[in-house]
Amino acid sequence: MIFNMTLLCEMVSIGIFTGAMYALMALGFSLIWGILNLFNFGHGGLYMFGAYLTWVLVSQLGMNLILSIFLTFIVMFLMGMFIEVLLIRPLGKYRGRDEWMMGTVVVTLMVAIFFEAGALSIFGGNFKTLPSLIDKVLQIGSFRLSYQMIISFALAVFLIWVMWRFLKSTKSGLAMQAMSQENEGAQMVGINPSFIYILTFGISAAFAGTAGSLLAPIYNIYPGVGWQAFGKAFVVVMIGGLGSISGTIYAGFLLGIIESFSNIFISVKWTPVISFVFMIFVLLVRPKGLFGIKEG
Amino acid sequence: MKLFQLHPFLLHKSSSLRNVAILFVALMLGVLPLFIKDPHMMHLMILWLVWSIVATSWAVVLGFLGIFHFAQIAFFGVGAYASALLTMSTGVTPWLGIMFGGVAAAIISLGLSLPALRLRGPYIAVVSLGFSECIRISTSNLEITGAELGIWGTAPLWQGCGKTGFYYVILGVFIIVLGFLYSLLTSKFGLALRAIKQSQISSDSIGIQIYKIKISFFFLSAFFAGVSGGLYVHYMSGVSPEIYNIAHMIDVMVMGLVGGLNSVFGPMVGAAIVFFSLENLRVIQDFRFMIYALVMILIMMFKPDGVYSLIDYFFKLADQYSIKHLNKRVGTHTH
Repeated sequence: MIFNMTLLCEMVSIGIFTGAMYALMALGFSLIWGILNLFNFGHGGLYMFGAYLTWVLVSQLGMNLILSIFLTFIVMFLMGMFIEVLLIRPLGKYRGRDEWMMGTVVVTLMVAIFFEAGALSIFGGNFKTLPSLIDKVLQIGSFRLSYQMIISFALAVFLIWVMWRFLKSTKSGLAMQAMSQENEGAQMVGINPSFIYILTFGISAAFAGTAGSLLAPIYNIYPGVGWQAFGKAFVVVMIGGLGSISGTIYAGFLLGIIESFSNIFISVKWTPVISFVFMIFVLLVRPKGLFGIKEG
Repeated sequence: MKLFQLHPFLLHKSSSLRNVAILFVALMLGVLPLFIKDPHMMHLMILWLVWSIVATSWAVVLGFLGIFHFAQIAFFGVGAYASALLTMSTGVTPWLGIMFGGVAAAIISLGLSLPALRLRGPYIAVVSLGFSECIRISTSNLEITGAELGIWGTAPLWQGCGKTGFYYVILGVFIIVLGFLYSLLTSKFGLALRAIKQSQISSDSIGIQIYKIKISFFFLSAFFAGVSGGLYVHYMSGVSPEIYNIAHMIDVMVMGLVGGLNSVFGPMVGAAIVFFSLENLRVIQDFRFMIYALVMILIMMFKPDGVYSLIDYFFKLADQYSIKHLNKRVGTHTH
């Protein structure tokens, strides 16, 4: 393989693109960990749900891609709130005990399995693909980048920015941060925990689903797609530090670039192993993650 | 209500009725091959025992140490692969291969437990998921493990050992595993495990070496899973990377949780329920995971002790009745 400037540009740009997607995926996961203190194993299932929803809206009902991404965001937001009320709230009696972790792991895992099995029985195991919005490729010299990737990237960055603004400058966002830092203290100053929990789950599900719909025109959709995405999300969150929002964003881009380099220089087959080993290494050196503040 | 309270079985002297029931079940399992003539039924019984070993070894780690992890099927697969590789390449007896499989799985488990058990909270759950995924990817990519095809053609335990022979061997191993775990959990070691599960800080302060005990119990659990993997590979005469499928891990999980984690006998009951209902009801087979999901969510919310707690409740009632009865006869009152 001849190493040249074009290849380097392509690797970096693909790395940044996937990094934005990873950050989008991992943000919701990290938020839920920080605020509800639970590992959402259903995150991949929500991603898959979002991807299928967009697929149905675009290729079955013939809607515009951007509009259906927006619709997916809203539906997934409601879905997340629904899951919180129906499944997580009844487990609230175990909160703060060992049983809480166990119960939430099982319940959220079962949510993912339920979605996967449902998608398999409704849509079958075939790969589904979506047509791109603009079926063109940006070409600068010998460097190529598809417009679809640029659009998805722009939307992902926009969403991350919106989330950032929401957390830093709205009242609800600040309340969420307060809950994440000190649960009891936040309740003492009058923050309503059930409102924050439901909001967090809604936002997290909406971001997971939107990541799914942004990636739908680029990658294939199949019922097990959520597991890969979930795997990426947790590696990102572990590297960035659990509960740290900025850490998650940095780690998303870092992992995207590492994976894109490893795809080229080692092998696509070994990339998941490499990112996992990197995560273990980070955990051994810094148990709270590279940018973490809160130890698990 | 506590989710996973420790079984009174481990705290007090076990009741006579329970002992009778256990002996009866063991006896039934012992004479079963004399009555079952259908080879398919024998095959199911063997697989049930294999899965029972895996489910038990997974469930004790959760039930008695509170560690929830997804790597048990990876240990099972590593045991199977190690045993197959050793017996195929050197031609040693499968018995040695099975032991080697157990040891290999236990050593592999250190790769997970050494970094992950230092961390508290749910880290181990996610890290173990990635760990087993890495093992799956490595196994299906490496040449030595036969890549996607796996290894086929492993020898049976001895020449001409049919299904019945295998059945008795696996039953023997299962009984040894149960007996060993039972005596271990009632010993001082078991006491330490219980202390750790209830409060890490206070058990740390009275001088229990948490990290060491966690790792050694994890090691043991992986060893049992590896041994059952070795038995499995010699029974099925081969193994492929399909064994690492997350679906199998979910089966094991559901077996353990449906059966109940409070006792070493729970997962066996759970394995029987899950395994035989999957085999016999095709309707369930098609919607397996949807039904799993609903059942597990309901169990977690309403009956987190599993099915075995119901059986145990019956034993307790019977004991109370017999004690009352005895007191009446002897003429004393104890409250």
